[in-house]
Amino acid sequence: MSQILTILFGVGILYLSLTSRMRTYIQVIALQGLILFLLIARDFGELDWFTFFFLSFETLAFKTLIVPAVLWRIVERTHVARETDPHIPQFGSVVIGTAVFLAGFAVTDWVSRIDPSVDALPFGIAVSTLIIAFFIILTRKKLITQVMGYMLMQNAVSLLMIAMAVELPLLVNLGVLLDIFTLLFLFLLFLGKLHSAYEETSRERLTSLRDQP
Amino acid sequence: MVAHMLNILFLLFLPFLMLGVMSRIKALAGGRKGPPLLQPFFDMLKLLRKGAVVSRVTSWVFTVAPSLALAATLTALLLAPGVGRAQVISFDGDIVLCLYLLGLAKFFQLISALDTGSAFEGMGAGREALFSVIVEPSLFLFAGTLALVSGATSFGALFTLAQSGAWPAVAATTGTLLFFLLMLTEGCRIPVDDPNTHLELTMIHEVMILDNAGPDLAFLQYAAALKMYLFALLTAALVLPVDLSPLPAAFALPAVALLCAALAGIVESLVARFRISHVPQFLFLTVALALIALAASVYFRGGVA
Amino acid sequence: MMLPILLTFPLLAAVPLFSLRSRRAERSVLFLHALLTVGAVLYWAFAGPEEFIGYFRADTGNLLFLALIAAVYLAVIPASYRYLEREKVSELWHRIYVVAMLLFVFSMTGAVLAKNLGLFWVFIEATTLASAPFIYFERHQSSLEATWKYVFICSVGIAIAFIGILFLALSAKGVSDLFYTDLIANAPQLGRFWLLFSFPFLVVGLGTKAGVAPMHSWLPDAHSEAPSPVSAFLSGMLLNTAFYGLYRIFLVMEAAGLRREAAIFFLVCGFASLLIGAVYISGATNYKRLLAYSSIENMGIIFIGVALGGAGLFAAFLHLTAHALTKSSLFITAGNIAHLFGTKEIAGVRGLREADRPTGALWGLGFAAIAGLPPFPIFISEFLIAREMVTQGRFGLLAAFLLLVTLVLYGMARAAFGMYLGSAPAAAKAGPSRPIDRLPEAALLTALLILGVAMPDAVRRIIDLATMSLLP
Repeated sequence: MSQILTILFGVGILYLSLTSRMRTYIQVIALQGLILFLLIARDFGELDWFTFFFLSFETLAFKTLIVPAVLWRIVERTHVARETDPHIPQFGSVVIGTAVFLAGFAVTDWVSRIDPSVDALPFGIAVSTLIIAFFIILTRKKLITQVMGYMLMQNAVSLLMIAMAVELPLLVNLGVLLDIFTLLFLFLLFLGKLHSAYEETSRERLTSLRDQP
Repeated sequence: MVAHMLNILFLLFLPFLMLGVMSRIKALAGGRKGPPLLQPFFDMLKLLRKGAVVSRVTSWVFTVAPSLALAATLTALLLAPGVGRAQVISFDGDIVLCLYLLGLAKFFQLISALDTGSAFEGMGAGREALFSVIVEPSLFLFAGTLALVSGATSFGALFTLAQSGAWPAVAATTGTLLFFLLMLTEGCRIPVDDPNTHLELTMIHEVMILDNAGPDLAFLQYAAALKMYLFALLTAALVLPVDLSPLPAAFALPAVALLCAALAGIVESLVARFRISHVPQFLFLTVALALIALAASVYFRGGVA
Repeated sequence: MMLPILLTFPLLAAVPLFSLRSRRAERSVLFLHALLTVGAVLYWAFAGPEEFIGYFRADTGNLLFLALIAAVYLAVIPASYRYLEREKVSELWHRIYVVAMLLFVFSMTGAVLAKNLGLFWVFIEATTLASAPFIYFERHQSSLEATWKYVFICSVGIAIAFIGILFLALSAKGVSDLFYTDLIANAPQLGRFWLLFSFPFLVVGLGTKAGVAPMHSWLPDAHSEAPSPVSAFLSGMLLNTAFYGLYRIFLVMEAAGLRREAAIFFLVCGFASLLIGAVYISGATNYKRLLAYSSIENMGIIFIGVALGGAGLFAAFLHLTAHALTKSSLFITAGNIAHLFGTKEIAGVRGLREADRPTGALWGLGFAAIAGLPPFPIFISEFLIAREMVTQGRFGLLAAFLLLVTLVLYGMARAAFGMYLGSAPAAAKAGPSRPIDRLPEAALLTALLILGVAMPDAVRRIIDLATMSLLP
């Protein structure tokens, strides 16, 4: 079951590189949050209740509900229905997405040969997601899409933690918490200031600070 | 023997029932009551009783194509795994024949559409050809993956072995998704094509059969429904447990098929049709899924049970 | 004794400031904090190492960094007072400035004092949060842009670093926790594969905060948009703080017998930064951005020095010390110039010599120091690094290094001469400034001169200990 969930996590990414609709992005992010929660819930017996409560709050409440809701609201307010004109054509990004997945599996194969204790499937999907998140951050122009790329990266990191079954000390929990702070900060910045400053929140406008070599 | 009888019986009813379920679900989602579940079947009976008008500019291709398409599709269905994964006809490598029969049916539909000389039908044929080019490799790739995992080349054995052996969950999940997407594509459903559209410019399948009438039209529509049913069959073969006793298996198959239809109906009620220019990207997703299944089977063989 | 005080004071002091609503109280708290930091450093220098709740430790390994924080902090405070006064900031933003400064310094000291890699990471993240208000401080369109870039790129970097820490934890599974000392002590047992796998993530992730390529692009924007005293802090200390953690991980790699591999990453990052710095310095049109690119370039040199090892290690830490002091002084002076001329464009500044003699002198001397002219210590460190390259027979590296450093010198000199000479526009001839106002900048440069001409043995020892004592 957990493998099927993990695959769905990956397919979500693939679907995401296929579309340019903001709402799909948000739905995929929320879906991934839910999958992460289910994956953690599966390990319920192995975790102490505090960690479990903490992590499920983080995945279910935060990643599945709050963040997508905020993103949704931003999209509605700024009327950026879709990501127009990415640097790379859509069809290309699907092809690249697939190639990334294959590469991710190859890396996983290599890694799991050296360290068999790694759970290969979530590791591979997490690595692929990570690369695609970078790809989105680097190629998409709109700030909100970049934030979504960042969210994807966070999800990939969570999946990575599950894959590697690192015993979660309190510090890792703290780390998760601080990531949330950063995100909240991003949102505040985004909601409060960037929106009022630009009619269209696009990275293209953020070019006044630039140097020619 | 019973299984074969059931398989053939299902061939006659289930495709129409699937169409009926889809339109019922769409109707319910739209707040309507909807037609009876077997309405598509009655429609076909009505069409069969009617005569046909054939355009004078067409050649023999146009006359032959509908019957040929139906015959090829039916034969392909006989090769497909049915109740308890039993095939009516089976031999080593039947999977290739099955896929090529589908290709043959499609080929004749395409040239018959071109044969009419109508601009709209030519456009529809062109789109259909383009989409097939993208979709076809995914089916072959996935079939190849199954063969690689199981070592068998016959449809029924393929699924049985693949499931009992080291069968990665990756391929099961991607396969199910793949078959579902193919069902939507080949069945000409939303988001690829809209069976209810009345604008020739946006049609794909419907525009190809504009000139067909009477029994010919009935044949083509039956063939289309059969293709959808084929993918439901494959999904069932993928997800149903191997060690199912005959009686539950006989019920499980239609259940899976109708579930697929219901899901397709839900998708149709929720999703809008893609712009034509977006469809190839969507279809490439099927190739991507097949590639992932292949990669996962190669890399995780034995690793991930 | 000093550790708990130093770590709790800024947190406790930040709370009442919100209800007091007095600028004077806010400033005195800030000043008190700086004095406390200086006192703590002196205390540790004389009384020896100190531990606190098992997670923090002040010892000879981080004394250099703490001392630099204290020195820069002390110099930045009067500059901040002047900045806040002449910009006539509102009461609210005054409070934001002070509180953010407290938290910023707190997070940097915390990062340096933390014994545990995870804790270090948390503090590094906190530095991003605490310093973000500064970059938005002037509330222009461009400050908004810079803030966005800063927060976003740093968050991405932090996330990458977290992945690196995850992999590191995997390599240490069952062998060690994430305390530096344990990691180094158990280094031979660490899983080599995961250790090697984690290192690039850590270099890129923490390197983002340390301002080295490939994720340096936030740096020029943030430095040019932040108030000048804060730029001094960002350049002088924030980069070093991130470097500190990275260096500790480098030592773990070294102890695990992976020095060669680790050095390659450092060398690549170092040279990439040097190249980027050199190229952009020659083309810069804004002098605060020029200084920021110079920071990238100098961090690159530090990385190169560490990668070389041997005498290069001492050179790297000397360079780090000198760079922190020089760049702080330069940024504070840059703030004065910006106030004097009302522009940050190099082309808009002419005749500094006439407009304000002390500022002009400080600017010229600062440039000489940062460009690596003798007798300033950056000359010594760059010379040591070049000599180490000769010793190791790496002449290709040497050629590239010298070429790039010369390019930097050219770019620096062109900008500095252009600003220094000529006749000043009438508007810029402000009233005579009190010499006391230029005290912090001047003091920093004087300290540099002393370091360069006759380095006190104590300083040499502190720098030496910072490089070596990390090994058990």
